[in-house]
Amino acid sequence: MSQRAQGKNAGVLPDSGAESHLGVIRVIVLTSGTDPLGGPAPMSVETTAALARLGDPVELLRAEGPDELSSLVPDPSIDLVLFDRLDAHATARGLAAIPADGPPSIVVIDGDREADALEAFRAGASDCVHFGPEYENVLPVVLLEQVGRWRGDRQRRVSRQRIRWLEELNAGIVSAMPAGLVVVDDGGLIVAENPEFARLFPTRAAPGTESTEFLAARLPVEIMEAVQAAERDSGDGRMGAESLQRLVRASDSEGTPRAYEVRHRRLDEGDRSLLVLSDVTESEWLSERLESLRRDTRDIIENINSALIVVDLAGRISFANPAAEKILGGRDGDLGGRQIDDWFAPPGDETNPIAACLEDGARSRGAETLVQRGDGAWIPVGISCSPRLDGSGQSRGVVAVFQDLSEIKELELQVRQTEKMASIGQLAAGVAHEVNNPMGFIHANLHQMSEYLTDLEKYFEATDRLQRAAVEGDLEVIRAAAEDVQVIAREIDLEFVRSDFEKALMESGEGAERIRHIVKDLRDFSRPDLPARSPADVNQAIDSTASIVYTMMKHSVALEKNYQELPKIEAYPMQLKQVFMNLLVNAHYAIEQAIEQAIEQASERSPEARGEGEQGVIRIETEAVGDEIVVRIADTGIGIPEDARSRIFEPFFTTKPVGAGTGLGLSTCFNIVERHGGRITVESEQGVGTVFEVWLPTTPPASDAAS
Amino acid sequence: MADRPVVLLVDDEPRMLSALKRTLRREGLVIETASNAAEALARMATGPAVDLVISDHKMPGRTGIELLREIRRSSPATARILLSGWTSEIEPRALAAAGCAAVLGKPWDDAELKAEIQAALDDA
Repeated sequence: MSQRAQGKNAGVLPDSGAESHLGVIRVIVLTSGTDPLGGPAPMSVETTAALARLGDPVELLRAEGPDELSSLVPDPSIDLVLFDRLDAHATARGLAAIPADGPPSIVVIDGDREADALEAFRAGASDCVHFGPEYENVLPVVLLEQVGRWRGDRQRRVSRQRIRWLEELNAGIVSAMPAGLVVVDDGGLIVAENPEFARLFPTRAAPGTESTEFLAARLPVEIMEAVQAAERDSGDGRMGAESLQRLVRASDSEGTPRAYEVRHRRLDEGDRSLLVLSDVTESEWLSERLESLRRDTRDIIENINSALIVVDLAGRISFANPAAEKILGGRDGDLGGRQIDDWFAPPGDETNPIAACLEDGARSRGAETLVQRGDGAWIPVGISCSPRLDGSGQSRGVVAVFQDLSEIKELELQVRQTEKMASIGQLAAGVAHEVNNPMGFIHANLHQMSEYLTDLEKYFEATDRLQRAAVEGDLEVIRAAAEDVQVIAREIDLEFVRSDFEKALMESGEGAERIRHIVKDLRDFSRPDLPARSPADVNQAIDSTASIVYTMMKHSVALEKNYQELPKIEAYPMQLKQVFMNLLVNAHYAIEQAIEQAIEQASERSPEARGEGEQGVIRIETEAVGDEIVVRIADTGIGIPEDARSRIFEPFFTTKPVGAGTGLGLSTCFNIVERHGGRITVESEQGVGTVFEVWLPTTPPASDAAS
Repeated sequence: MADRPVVLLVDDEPRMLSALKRTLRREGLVIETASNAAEALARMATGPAVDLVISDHKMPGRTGIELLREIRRSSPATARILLSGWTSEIEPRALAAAGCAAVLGKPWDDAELKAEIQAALDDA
């Protein structure tokens, strides 16, 4: 407790206008009594004079009672509370309103009442000043001392708080940072590490043991090498330079290859280094992937055989790949900015897929159109267009991919020819077999008959001799000759030879007739078409085809026919026969497959009980329905799988094993029937069979494209 | 040769069987015939041992190749010759599985046929 506070050894105030650096001092003053005009009573003249002696400006705040006081004191800018000669009770209540960490308080004691001062100190006053002769000198000194101390305390409190806050922030950052942080001393021992470092490079020490691990025990060799290299560099007088950064590939604790970014920094204090390690595998992978995607896309666009152009909304080419430049006749991007109309508007043809796509965003896929090549020639192209849409679905132009179809068209023609040849080849094989059978026995019989003839000549020679002997009339000679005839007749088995010769002759004649029949069928079948359509008998066309094809399938197929009377139609009969032949050959194939399956299933049940004599049925019906005629070919084969049914008319689609079919048979049929203004339908059930119907109009459309 | 060898001819074409019998008339063989695989197997199962089977390929029911493969399994001592106008259509593996002494086409050459028969019987 300050004795001086009692004013006995009151210090001398520095000269008026003393040097002080406290700035504005904010003081709450409580006085006793009230002003006659309202509000608290004014300060005494002495107190006002004392405050005026301070070197610093004073801002006075008035509080009328403890309630008002307690509402003012939490303001941290309040420097002091002055109790100006209140009675002891009011002083005590006012002091009680000031919190322990609140501003200091000075109590002015009226006269020399020690008891009041003592009570004020007990109530928490910071100091007391007697309202005596020295009052005006003492109050400023005591006030400055209290304010100075208070402000100092406040400053320290704020600094401490800020330091604590910064420390917490720092710790938070270090522990939450998505990078591993570790501090090592120059001996390579880990001094500190954050949780991420522990996660990236888990400790191998037993839990709870003192962490005095070497960095080398925690990090993969590859990273350690990078760290050592960084330490060497920082040892080369580069200390304090920017941290050194490296990308290191290493396997993590589970052996997965990863990429780490390693930063190394010498710390200013002590012989320590800070390492920052981030797992950048993901971002590395992403950027690599992005780069490789970009490269791949560029490679693809530059190397595909298909031409690719990007067209802006104004119909100008903004990009063309090398294949497009080749067709359109540009080089090194000099097509950029030119109008697509320069190439894609064939005279008299308004259907330009790119223009359509620009206009209303219509996509096209595999549309055929004409393009004027760089050299002026018009070529067919297959083109696909898609609008380029921005994020909000607005069109930014068109991407068009197209391909020169000239070669493909050429090939298609060749393949169709091949298909024709293949079916003729198949037919020829069937016919050859059918001819070979009778030829086989005719050939054998001829050989045998010539042997019979040799035998018979021997016999005739003997009968000749007998005849001559009879003419000469010598009985002995006649008897000998007759015996000779008998011996020879026995020797050559004359009776058998005579009857078998006749049989062989008859059988051979029958074989020859069969061959003649086959040849006639073949001729009926293969009569070439006239260059224009001619009235054709469809019953005759299907029947001659069936006769020919039947020769190669008779072992496994029974043929049922039901032909109704049909009007003649304008057609290319040979082309129709090709359709019927394909359908019949397919039906035969389906039946063979079904028989094979049946045999397999039977032999699975019991190897001895394999099916014998299984046959399928092909039923051919024709009828006139309205102004159409229909040829129906139904088989009892394996049927067409449901997923294949919609594709059977596509070129090159086949369910036969590789090499067994070109996949063109039905697509050829489709084209031929279409050319006749007709259609083909199919119904099929697996395991039951298939029905193909060829519908042809009796009066086909006027124009067609014969091939 | 004590007994005359037994040869079984299999073909669905009676004219073919007739011509073959005619051709082999003087070869000192016992000739029997069957018009399909089932008949042939029935004959194999009952009568005296058959020394050689000469079969056509394309027949109703089981094919000649299937027949000869079955005979190879059930009567390995019987020699087998395939005689067909359709040989190019036969899958090589199926042909191999039948283990034929000879494969001849139609029409055949009489001398060649007789020589192959003799060779097959000699080997058996």
